[in-house]
Amino acid sequence: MISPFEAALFVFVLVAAVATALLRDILAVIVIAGAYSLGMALFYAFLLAPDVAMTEAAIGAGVTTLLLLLTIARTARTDHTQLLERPNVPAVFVCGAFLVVLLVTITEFPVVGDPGIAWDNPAITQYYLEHAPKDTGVENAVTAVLAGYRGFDTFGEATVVFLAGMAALLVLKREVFTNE
Amino acid sequence: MIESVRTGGAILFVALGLFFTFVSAVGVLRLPDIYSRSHTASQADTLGAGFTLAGVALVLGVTPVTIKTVLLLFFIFVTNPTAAHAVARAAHEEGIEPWTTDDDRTDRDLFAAAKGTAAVETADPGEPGPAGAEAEDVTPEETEPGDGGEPA
Amino acid sequence: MTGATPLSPLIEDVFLGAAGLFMLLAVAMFYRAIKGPTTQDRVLAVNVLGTNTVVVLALLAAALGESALLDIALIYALLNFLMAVAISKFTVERGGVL
Repeated sequence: MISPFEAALFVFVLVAAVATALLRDILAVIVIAGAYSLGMALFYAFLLAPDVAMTEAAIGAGVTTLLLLLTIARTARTDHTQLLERPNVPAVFVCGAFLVVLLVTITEFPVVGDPGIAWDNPAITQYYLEHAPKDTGVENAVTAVLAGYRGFDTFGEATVVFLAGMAALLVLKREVFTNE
Repeated sequence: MIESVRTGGAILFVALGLFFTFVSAVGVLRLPDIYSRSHTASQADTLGAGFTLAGVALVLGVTPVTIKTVLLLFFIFVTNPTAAHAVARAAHEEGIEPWTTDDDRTDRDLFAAAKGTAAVETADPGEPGPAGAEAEDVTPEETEPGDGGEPA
Repeated sequence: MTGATPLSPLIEDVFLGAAGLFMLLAVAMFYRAIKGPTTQDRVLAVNVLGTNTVVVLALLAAALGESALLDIALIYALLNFLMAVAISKFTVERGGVL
């Protein structure tokens, strides 16, 4: 059921995640978190969600890495003597319990790519599939919902993202690039 | 007929790509210092990626999609050596000394020495004193691949 | 698959298997990324790992017949390059702060 490719990808993402959690050097953590992002995007790509994969690649591997780099360029990077962090035992326990809860819910999910599912409300899905091209003139139903039916919502999101980007650039310009 | 030639060619290309990527992986894991590693990363890895992408292009055939593959191949051929060069240059600016055949220090010692001599240019590479002192804090294990690695 | 000749199942199997092997090589690269010992080693390892990822995406695009994955591969190739150069540049210009 699970292909060798998926197995290798699982190992890849798992190693990256554990290394991100345990390494002591901040710069190394940033670099490996970028690698983790690459692995996650591969997962999305393998599950045929190219748009999500593209977002993960751009945000996770690109923007986040750059922002974190700028952050530690501004703050101090402490010298370290040991390679690994000593794990916090209660935190590990809490994370493990949470993981078990999440794993229990996995069996309730439908199979990936199951054509029989139309999520919870087939009527609404059918409505959009039928009316979207006529109502909005857009052939892709997802795009129609995103930019047509909930256009104001998307507009608000775009505004928030734009403001966040502006704020980050302003702060960075003052804090990093005009240093000395 | 032509179909089987295409299939065979694609499989051959992918196998070659896998081989060269394997060589590059071995190089990155086994070679003694950052400079030689960046060398293998820029050469063998680029060749491996190039072969595999050529195989993919062969499978896709003459379609508009293939243009993307060729573009990707071009990008990798340009950017991969450039990135390796940038990394090696950064290492040089930071003062990491290259490994030479007449010293058998591990790369950890090289790094410690680079940290020690960043300000002063005096410490002799053969002097194990400061390097050994700094390496004391690190958990002592001698399984570093740079150790016994003897590049033929 | 857009318009091209249909793939033989052999090619699909071979490409998926090759993608798995590439992922294994990428996992092996984590040794260098975690162990270091210098930041440049880590950046180099992640760069090689990113190239592997791009190749895997291209293989998946051919094997699954999903040409959109090639777009992601293009983005990756550029981001990967950008990341390596950005970190190297910072290291040089900040005088070893990073």
